[in-house]
Amino acid sequence: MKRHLAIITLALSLSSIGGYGEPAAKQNSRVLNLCELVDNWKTYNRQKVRVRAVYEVGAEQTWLYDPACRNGEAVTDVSFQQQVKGAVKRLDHIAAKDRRAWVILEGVFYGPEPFDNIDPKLPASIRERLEKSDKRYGHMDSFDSMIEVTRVVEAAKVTDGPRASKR
Amino acid sequence: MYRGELGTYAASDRLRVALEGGVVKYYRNSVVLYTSSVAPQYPLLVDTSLNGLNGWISNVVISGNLSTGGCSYNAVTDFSSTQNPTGSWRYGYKASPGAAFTKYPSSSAPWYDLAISDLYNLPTVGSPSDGLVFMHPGPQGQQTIVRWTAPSSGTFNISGRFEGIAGGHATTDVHVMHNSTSLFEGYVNGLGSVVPYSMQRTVTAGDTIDFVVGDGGNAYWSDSTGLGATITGQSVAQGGSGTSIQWLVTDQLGTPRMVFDQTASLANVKRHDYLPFGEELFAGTGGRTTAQGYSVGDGVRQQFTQKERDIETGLDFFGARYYASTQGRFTSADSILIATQKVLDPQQWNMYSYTRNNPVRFTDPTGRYVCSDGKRCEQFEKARQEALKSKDSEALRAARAYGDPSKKQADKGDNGVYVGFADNLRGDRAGTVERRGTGIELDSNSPNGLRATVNVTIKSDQAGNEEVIAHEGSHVADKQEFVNAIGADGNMDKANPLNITLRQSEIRAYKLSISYAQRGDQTLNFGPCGMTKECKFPPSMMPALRDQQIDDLLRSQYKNLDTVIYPELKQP
Repeated sequence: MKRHLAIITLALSLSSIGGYGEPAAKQNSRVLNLCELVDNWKTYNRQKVRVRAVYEVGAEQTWLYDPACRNGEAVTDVSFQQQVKGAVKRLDHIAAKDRRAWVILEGVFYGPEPFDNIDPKLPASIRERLEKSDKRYGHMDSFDSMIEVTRVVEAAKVTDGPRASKR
Repeated sequence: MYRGELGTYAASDRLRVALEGGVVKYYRNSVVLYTSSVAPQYPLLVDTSLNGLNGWISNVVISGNLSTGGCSYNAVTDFSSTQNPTGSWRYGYKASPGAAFTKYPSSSAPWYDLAISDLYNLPTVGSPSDGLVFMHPGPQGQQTIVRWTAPSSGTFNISGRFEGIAGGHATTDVHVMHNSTSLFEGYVNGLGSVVPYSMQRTVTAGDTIDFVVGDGGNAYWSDSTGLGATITGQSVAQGGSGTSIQWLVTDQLGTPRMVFDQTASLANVKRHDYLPFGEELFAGTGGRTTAQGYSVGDGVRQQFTQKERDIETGLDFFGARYYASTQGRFTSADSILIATQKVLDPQQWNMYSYTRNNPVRFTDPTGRYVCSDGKRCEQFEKARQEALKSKDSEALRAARAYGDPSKKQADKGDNGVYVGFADNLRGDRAGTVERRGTGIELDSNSPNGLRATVNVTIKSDQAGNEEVIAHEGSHVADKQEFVNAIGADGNMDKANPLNITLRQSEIRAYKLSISYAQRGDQTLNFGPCGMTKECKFPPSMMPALRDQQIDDLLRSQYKNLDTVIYPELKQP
């Protein structure tokens, strides 16, 4: 009997390792546009979201922009988890050729939230500036928000003519 | 411990029992007599008995800096199927953050609680695999916990890493806690994501250190996180008859100046004074006497700036070089021949000099980067060593910025630079440099008390690519130079010009990358420069054209180029 129980236990443990039974995540199933997301970052901060935008690949950065958002500026850094689901190959294929693609990405969004754990022993002039500043993301900390992608829901060629992001 | 015949001893013969690297060794007159195969237990108990007629033991010494550690606990190697109810390690969970610790009711590994399983997922602590203990948060927000209970009081170094090992769907939150105080918080972002930690903590017996994994607040509990945790330190030994403990009291440079025994009585104090460059002053010099405690042997090898002094040669071991305190000079040249910082500082032109000839203010720590993937770390370090041989001062600057590799995941000697590897950099991205935390933290080894904290991520298949390592190292150096130029009081007048823009940092890094390609007589192609042409850099390219091409490259493939490397510290 004990041996039987041990086998059940092992099976349960392995099933959890394998990631079966993925639950319904706390997420917004509605697809947001980029400005809706970043302009309301406090609402969506650290939440799983779906966002539609143009994904663009640079030399050391990847980012989102939308011609209809902030005059087409690059707005949000894009980081990918090690294992991303969905239309990843299609996105990579399009991006390799065109360096950008219309996408709907699902992932966790991080906005310009305040620093946590600022060392109180830092010199006052530094500590006070950090306390008034926000987190940054991406290569050389060049963006003030980030989406960490877990799923590429859709990826399509940019055929309707939005040019590369500005700035 | 070994209990047996340790030989016959004549007058003035010396028996020494030493704890070296966690192994108990017995010496007779400096020759190893016996090496115990039994791991020591803590707190250390030293007990002796004599069988010989008229024998006696004196000066049994447990010496050394009490923070250097000898006892060691490891969550992976100590993992046991049967020790949950007792012992130093326990496995359990919290029903919610802040709730009480509940030990898993199961009776053997893997540890779990079926009562809170949702059939497919349950909070679990499982047997180690690939050097990491398996940890799985619960399906209703339960945090799973590996708990270490301090067997004795003392100061301990706590280091290791959390790493995404299965699932990879979303984030898990990870914590290290001392009783109810949070020491460290972070997030593991899916499979392969590595979150190192390192800290030192003074605990009292019975205190708990919890290693905690939660679901990241996203209810994606199917993710699994691995834990590597090492706790090392020096428990307070509780001596038997004839045992002594030595406490070292240091000055501002870390030099042990007073050595107390376990009674902490001034009557038994041993003293050490040094000239500015480390030459010791003994009894008979300047009014010093043996009665005051000078020139009384204590066997403590950690001497000037707490570096170990070789008894035979009198030289101090500084990691990369030996230092002769009698001469105030290293015995070999600095391995870093040229660096911008040195060119600007005449005090650093002498390759044998010590701490810019200002030994009262500065020490010479060995800066170390922390690398988190053994095999790739070896490739990385091999390529970095190649860069260190370069005659290109920019390549040297970049390679030097990483410091030397740390043998530990993280230790007090690290220099704030953490190197990792990933497969999820898309497009042409070969590496990236990002701040860790606020990007700046206190560092007692630094002249201004500060250091930059940087995460460097190299694409896995580029781990041994010297050009990539140098390019990212150039960014690291930019950040370090800014932080190093800040005054100890936080004044940024001198540092402000070094708070350069991303554009300036990339131009410097790309010039280095291009020099690598041209050294190999190759044309470097960074892809599109604008809508039509490509950014190609042939070996014969004129510098002016090269710079124009770099500018085109940055315009087409980078964003937010005018952001400075520390925006929050930018002077108005």
